[in-house]
Amino acid sequence: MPLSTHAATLLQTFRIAFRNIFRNKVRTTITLAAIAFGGISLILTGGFIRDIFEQLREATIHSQLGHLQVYREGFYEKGTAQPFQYMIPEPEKVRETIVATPSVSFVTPRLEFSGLLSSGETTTSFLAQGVDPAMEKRLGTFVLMGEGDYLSAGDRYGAILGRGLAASINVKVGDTVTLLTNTRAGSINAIQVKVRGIFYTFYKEYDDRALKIPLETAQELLQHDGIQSLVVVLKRTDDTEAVRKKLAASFAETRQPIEIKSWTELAEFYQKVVDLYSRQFTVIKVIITIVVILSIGNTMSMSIYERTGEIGTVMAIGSRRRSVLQMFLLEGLVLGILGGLAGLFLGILLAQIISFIGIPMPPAPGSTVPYTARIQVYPGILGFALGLSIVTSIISSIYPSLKASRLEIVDALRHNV
Amino acid sequence: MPVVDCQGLVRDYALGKTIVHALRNVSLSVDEGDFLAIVGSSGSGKTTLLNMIGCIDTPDGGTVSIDGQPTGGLSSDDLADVRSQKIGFIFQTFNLIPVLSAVENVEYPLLRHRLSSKERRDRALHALEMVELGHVGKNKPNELSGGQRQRVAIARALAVNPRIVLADEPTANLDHKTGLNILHLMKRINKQAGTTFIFSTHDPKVMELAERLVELEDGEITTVGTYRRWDPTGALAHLSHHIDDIIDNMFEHEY
Ligand SMILES: Nc1ncnc2c1ncn2[C@@H]1O[C@H](COP(=O)(O)OP(=O)(O)OP(=O)(O)O)[C@@H](O)[C@H]1O
Ligand SMILES: [Mg+2]
Repeated sequence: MPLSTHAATLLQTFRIAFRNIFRNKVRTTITLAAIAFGGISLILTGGFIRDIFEQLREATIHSQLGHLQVYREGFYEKGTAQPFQYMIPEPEKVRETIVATPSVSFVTPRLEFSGLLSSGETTTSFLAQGVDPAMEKRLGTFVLMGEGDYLSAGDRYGAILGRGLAASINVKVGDTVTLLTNTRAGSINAIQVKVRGIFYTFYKEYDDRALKIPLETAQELLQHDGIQSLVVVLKRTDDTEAVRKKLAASFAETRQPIEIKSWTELAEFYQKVVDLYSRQFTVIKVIITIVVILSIGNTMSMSIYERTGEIGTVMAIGSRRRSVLQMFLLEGLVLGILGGLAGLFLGILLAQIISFIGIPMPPAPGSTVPYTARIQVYPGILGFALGLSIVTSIISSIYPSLKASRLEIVDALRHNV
Repeated sequence: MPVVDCQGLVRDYALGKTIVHALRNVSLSVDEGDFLAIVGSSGSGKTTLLNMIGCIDTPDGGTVSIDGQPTGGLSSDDLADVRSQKIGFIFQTFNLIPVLSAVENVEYPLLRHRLSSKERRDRALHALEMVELGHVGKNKPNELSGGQRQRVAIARALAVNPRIVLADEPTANLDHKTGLNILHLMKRINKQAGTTFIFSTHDPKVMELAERLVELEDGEITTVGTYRRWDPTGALAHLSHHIDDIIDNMFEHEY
């Protein structure tokens, strides 16, 4: 057959498929609703999980990790045991390399150490960070002040304590505490600082041990003027891998013994949450797929059963079996497209409404901060929802359509009454 | 050369443990331009025979040739092509496609022919005019009366210029008068266009219009003749093929 004949046949098949879909309006509405429901569920669940991931990601990055952490080679594995062995060599040069890299927003130095914290009555262990107050504040947008103020640049003997840590030795803003630690030489050194503020982050575990003091104070206490890490903050989280690669290449080129870790490698908790939710989402996807397949399969079977006589007729008047198959597959496809589009439209609409209202969420496990989740509609989930509607529609039409195309003409004709 | 040639057709149905012999050794040949009625009591095998001729069922024995082409051994697609090119069907229950308008229904079998969409539309409209329904082309089947539906079905059967039109009890679902009108229409087309018609019927008034009658009884042809000569009591039950041929010739000379 010439192309035009094929096109005409296809067009007519389309027309018939389309009209047949609207023949039984109630049934079609129910089927479309089922498909749309699947799409909506996918969009809302996917968008919700996406929002949780992103909030957790930003909280993780902006509580303390930054996007990238730059250390001396080996620090990540052995640094905690021998902190003084793994100070960054020529930190200024390293900093310059980083700052010169595109998409880097800023860099802030850190010196970490542990020791004992005493309020005079009680003593407990801590994990301290000597930081650049101004830069660290810029990084720590998810570091929230429970009481008092953040560190300030001029305030050399000020400190801020994590909420859990402060509570464990019962100190308040304005109290003076003593920090005790080992110096590089191995002796013990102490320093008194004033509590300026109590902070908390997304991570309770961190808040239970952490305190921050200005970098110079830390260096004075440790009697060492180095730093262990440079924390890099990027303009966009999505650039993390690219910048990491670029930096690694630069350091390799200049033969600097530097290693780089990205926040994803450091954020174990985040990875676990992502893993858990992704699995749950997979289960939801499977359930939705089954619902859509069953509802379309059912519609197609009913519609084909009702039209057995008609199938007999078109085959008798010369339609090949293949075109009967085509016709019903096309019907499934049209149902899938219509239902899928309805799902997209309603899904996006509902996502906007829900996001506008906000979903109040209890604190995440390991956290003490409640938050408001929204639904993030993103292209990937829209494509997936539409794709799933269409693909499942076709898949579930295959069996009924094959059955229709294999009917004995004479038997099928007998259904005409 | 006959348009339809059936030789020794056998068709058995298994009904539980018993076997129903729907056709036993039926031979029939139909010439171009025939207007042939197949009659017989219910269950005598009329539908089965028409199905064999229409290539929508395959015999358990014997052969069917359409337009000189044997159909035995053809694939389902090839049979579909034979039907689409050479055979028009008219059904007792009209069997129009409900979602298509009258003219679209008539166009439907033409989709399998090499035609531009304009030619297709023109032919469909022409066929509708032949059945005097040019004015209802846009209507859906459920907006038409039974008689009008059957006329649309006739137009659909004729649109492809088939060699044969097969009609299994085309008037059974119509009132008597409408049924006769349908038959008159078929006959007029048969006369004007020379299209071969084979139809089955129970209705003696309809039989009267046939030019040739084939009577089936229990899966066998018992009588071949014309209505006037056909005797329902069976007086001519064993009319020979020889006489049959003579009658045929007589008719051919009549018009
Ligand atoms: N699919 C089938 N399965 C079993 N038996 C069948 C089948 N089709 C037809 N038969 C039997 O074959 C015989 C002939 O049937 P057929 O339909 O050809 O009769 P008919 O002359 O058309 O009858 P009617 O006038 O009632 O339409 C009948 O005994 C019928 O019961
Ligand atoms: Mg019958």
